[in-house]
Amino acid sequence: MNNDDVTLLSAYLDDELSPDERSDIEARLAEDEAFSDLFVNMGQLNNVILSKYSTMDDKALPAELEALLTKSSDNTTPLNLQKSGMRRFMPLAAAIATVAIAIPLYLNQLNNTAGTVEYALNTSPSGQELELADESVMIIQMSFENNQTQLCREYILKKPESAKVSEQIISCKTDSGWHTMVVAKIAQANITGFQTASGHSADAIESWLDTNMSSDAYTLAQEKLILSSQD
Amino acid sequence: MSNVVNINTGKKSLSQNEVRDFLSTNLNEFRRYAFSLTKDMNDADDLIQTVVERLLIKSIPTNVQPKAWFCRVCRNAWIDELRSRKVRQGPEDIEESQLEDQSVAMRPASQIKQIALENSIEKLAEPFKTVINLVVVAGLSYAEAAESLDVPIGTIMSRVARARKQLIDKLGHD
Repeated sequence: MNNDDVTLLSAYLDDELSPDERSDIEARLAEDEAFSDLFVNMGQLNNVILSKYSTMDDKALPAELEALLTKSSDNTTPLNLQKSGMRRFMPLAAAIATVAIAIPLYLNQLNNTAGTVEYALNTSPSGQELELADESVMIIQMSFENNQTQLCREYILKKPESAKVSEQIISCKTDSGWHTMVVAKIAQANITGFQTASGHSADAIESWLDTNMSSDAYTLAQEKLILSSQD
Repeated sequence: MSNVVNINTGKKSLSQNEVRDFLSTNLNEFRRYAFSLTKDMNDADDLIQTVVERLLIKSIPTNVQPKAWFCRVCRNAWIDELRSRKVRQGPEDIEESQLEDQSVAMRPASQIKQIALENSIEKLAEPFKTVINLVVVAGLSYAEAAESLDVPIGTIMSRVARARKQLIDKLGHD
């Protein structure tokens, strides 16, 4: 079973294929036992995931939340936050603001490599939104090892001068530093119409990953360990 | 109210009552999604409450897909909460503690396979877990998940498939 088969079957399960693609899959499911077994396994997997989290449905809705969702006759009535449930998260706002602001300052105040893409690749874990010295915004998506056992990182780069187009990039670290392996442009325009799941500029990224990614993506804990052991 | 926003009305954001309708219609999926993030039911409802308040105050723009918007706000609010807990608790490995599902140990032995699978899901790398939670748990389309994460649709399609393959392979070896 190749990667394309798995991707198609997964998209079929999520109802993301065109009618013609669905017919092709259904014909193959009827005659290909291995393909059909994989589909059954994927379906069981979905059921387990859904049953795990649907236990939340049995929990009664908290009264405060229910009150918030009850329609007001006055459409413009402001909310009274004193009475509602920011009780656990709101007191932490100052701490959150400190963290959110601290990241760009930290990057900008270190030596002359701080605030650059390379510096962020060497030091920052995935998932954070980082403001670079040139006001670009960088979000590292994941880290993994390639076939040459090099550390690679996938990230999104939003440059201020081209706000409507971002770049999705994979760079890998060699002895001479970080090298860009593949770049795909991403239009930031909101997706309001129907789009098929395939045929996107991300194909370049995904085919590079199919060929070159030799490990699973690292967990945050593994990533932390690897970054701390880098030069 | 339909969940699909008419972008031709000239409105920049939904009214409070439209936001309430949208949230109420999708509340089950959103609570499950919040639970998938927090791993604790009470935290999940607190998170939902925070997001509901935020959306009732700031509304939802009419030029976005509302489910994608909700999931993005929810995810960011949870990241903020984890960061703030880290500040309060010190540099402990909070993500490890969050990944532990306390309820698993309480389940009967007959559910061993299910528990193994649930553990495998928790051990998925974050990018894969994120797309599984958005697509399978929150029920977002690939286009909505792509908008929520600011990545192309092809990335979602590929990652959901990779995540499923990893989980099936891991279970096959257990």
